Amino acid sequence: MTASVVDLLPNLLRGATVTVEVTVAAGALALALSLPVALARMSPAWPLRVIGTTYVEVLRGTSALVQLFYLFFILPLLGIRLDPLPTAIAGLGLNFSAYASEIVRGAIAGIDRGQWEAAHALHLSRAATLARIVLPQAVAVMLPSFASLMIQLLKSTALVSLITLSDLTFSGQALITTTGRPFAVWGLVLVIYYVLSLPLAWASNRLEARATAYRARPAGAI
Amino acid sequence: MPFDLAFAWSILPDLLRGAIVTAEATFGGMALAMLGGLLLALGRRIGPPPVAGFVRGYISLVRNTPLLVQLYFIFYVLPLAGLSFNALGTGIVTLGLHYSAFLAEVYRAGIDAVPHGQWEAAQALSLSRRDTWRDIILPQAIRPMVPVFGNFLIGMFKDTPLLATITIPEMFGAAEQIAGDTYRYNEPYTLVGLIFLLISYPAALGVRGLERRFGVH
Amino acid sequence: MSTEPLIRFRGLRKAFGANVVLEDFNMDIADGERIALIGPSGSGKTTVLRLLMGLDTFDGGEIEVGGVPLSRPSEQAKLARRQIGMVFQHFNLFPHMTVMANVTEAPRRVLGLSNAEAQARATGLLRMVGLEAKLNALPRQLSGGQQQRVAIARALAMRPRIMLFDEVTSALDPELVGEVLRVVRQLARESGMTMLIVTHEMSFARDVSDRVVFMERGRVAEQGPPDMIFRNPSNERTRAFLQAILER
Ligand SMILES: Nc1ncnc2c1ncn2[C@@H]1O[C@H](COP(=O)(O)OP(=O)(O)OP(=O)(O)O)[C@@H](O)[C@H]1O
Ligand SMILES: [Mg+2]
Repeated sequence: MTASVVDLLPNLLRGATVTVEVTVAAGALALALSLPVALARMSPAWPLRVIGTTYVEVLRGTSALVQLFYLFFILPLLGIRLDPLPTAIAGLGLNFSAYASEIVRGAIAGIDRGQWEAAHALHLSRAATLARIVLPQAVAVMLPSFASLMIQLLKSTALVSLITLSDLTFSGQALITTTGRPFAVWGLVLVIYYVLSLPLAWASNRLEARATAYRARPAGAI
Repeated sequence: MPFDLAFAWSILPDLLRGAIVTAEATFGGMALAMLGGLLLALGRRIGPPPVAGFVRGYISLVRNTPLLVQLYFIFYVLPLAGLSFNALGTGIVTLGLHYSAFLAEVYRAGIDAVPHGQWEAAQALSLSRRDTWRDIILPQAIRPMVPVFGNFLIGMFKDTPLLATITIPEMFGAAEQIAGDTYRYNEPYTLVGLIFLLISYPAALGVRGLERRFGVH
Repeated sequence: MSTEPLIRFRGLRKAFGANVVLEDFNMDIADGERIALIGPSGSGKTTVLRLLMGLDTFDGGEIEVGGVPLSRPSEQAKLARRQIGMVFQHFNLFPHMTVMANVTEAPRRVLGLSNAEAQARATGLLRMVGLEAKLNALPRQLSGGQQQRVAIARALAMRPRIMLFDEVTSALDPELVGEVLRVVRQLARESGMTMLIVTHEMSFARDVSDRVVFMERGRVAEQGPPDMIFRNPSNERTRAFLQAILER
C-alpha cells in the first residue's frame, strides 16, 4: 500500500504543476482585468457602465464550465484555434475577472466619501485622487478577498480536466484507469489540492488581520 | 458561425427536461446543505472538543478542495464502502456535503451576531438551553442569513453542470449529449448558457432585494 | 477692501429631491472679510460651503468668485475655485499617508512644487499649528484635535485666498476643542484671508468674525456685526435660536 501510494505521487505532482500554472496565469489575467472592468462599471458615462455591467453579469450568470466548453468548442468554429492550456487560462481568467472586479468595485465604493471630497477640496484631479488617495486604501481591503478568490480559482481549475488538459484532476483520472484504486488516488488528489490551498488560506488570514487593524478608527474621532 | 434557429428550437425540449434534473439536484442539494450546515455549526459550537475539532478539520478540507474531485471521490469510493446511490443521489449528496461546509460558516456568523443580551435574557427567564437555542437564538440568527442562503443556492445551481461528469442527465449533460450526437456545438451550449443567465440573473436581483429587505450590508 | 465683492451668491437654489435646502440664497462677501455662518441644524449652512467648494452642483442662481461664475464648468471657473480651501467636520485626512505626505500631496501634484519646496512649506505650516514633532506620524496615531490641525495645515499649503471651515470642532472631544479654535482665531487675526466659518460655538463666532450671518430654512434670516447679532438681534427667530443655544 505505502509503496504504491509513493508510486502514484510523481504522476499526480506532474499534474499539480499544471494546476498551479493555470491558477497563476488565470489569476493574473483576472486581476489585470478587474480594475478596468470595475472602473467601467462605476463610470459616469452610461455606455461604459452598460458594457461593464453586461460583462460582469453574463460571466457571473452563466456557469464556468459552460464558458470553458463554449471557448473550447466554439472558438474553433470561428476559426480561432487555441490549445487547451490557453483556452483554460482564458476561460477561467475571464470568469474570475468578473468576481475580481466586484471585489475592486466594492473596495472602491467602501472608501469614505470624505476622502474624495477632501481630495476635491485640494483640487486634485479625479485620476490623481483615484491613483493616490482611493486605490492605495482600497487595495488593503481587496487583498484578503483576492486571496480567498484565488482559493476558489485553484479549486475551479479542476474543470480544465474536462477540456483534456492534464492537470491534477486529469492525472487522477488517468491513474484510476491504470491502477483501479479510486480511494487512494482520489484521497491523495484531495490532499494535494488542500495542501496547495494552504498558503493562500494563510495569506488570506494574515491580510484580513492587517486590513482590520488598518481600518481601526483614528483616535479622537467620534 | 451559423446559429440554426430551427435546430435550436428542436433541442429545447431535451434541454428543458435536463433543466428539471438540474432543479432537483439544486434544491435537493440545498436542503441537505442547510441541514448539514446547521449540524456542523452546532457541532463546532456546542460539541465536545473532539467533535468540534473534527468538524473544524472537515469544514476546512471540504471548503478548500474542488467539488469535482469530491464528486469523483464519492462516486467511486462510496460503492467500495457498500453504500450505493444512483447517480443523481450521489450528485445531491456531494453538493449537500460540499455546501454544508460553507453554510456552517454562515450559520456560525449568524449565531455570533445575536446580541449577548439575548442569552442573558433567556437565562434570566430560566429557559433551558434547548429552548433558548430553538426559540430565541436560531430564529433571530436565521433571518439575516436568508439572502446569503439565496446566494449559495445560485452558486450551487451554477455548479450543477459538474454532475454531467458522473452521467447525471441534467441540462448541461443533455447539451453535451446533443453536441456529441450531432457534432453541433453552437446551439446546445449557447442555449444552456442563456438558460443559466435567464435563471440566475433574475435570481441574483431577487437576492439583492432580499438583502435590502432583511437589512444586511 | 475693494467695493466689488470677492464672493457673491445670487438667488442660489439647491434641492435634494423634494427637499428644497436653499431657496433664493443671497450673500456678498468682501475680500478679507470673516463671516460666521450660524443657524439651526438643517438650515443649509454646510450646503452653502459645499456648493461654493464644488462638492455638489446647484440647481439655480449663481455663485461668483472674483467675478467668475461657477455654474458652468470652465477653465476659468476651475482656476477661480482653486483659490478656495476647506476644512471638514471629520478632518478627512488621508489615513495611508504620513502627516507630511498629507500636507505636501496637493502642492506637489496640483501646483507642481518640488518635493523640497513642498516640504519646506509644510514644515512651516505644521510648526504654526504646533505639530512640527509629528511630521512622520500617521493620522491614526494622532488625537482628533491634532488631526484637525493637520487638516488646516493641509488646506493652507495650497495658499488659498478663501478658507471654508465647516464645524471643525464638533467631532472633537470637548478638551480638544480649544487647541483647534486657537489656530483658527490666529488665522483670522493674522492671515488676511477671506474666511467663511460655520460653527455652533457662539463665543468663538463672536470674536472671530466681522459679520455674523444667521441662516434659517435655506435663506439669510438676519446678519450684522457680531455685537449687534448677539446683544440685540432684531429677528425673533435669531433670538430664539441664541436663547436655545445658551441654555444648553
Ligand atoms: N446629500 C444629501 N442628500 C439629501 N439631503 C441632503 C444631503 N445633504 C444635505 N441634505 C439635507 O439638506 C438640508 C440642509 O443640510 P445642511 O447639511 O446644509 O444643514 P446644516 O445647516 O449644515 O445643518 P447642521 O447644523 O446639522 O450641520 C438638511 O435637511 C439635510 O437633510
Ligand atoms: Mg452642517
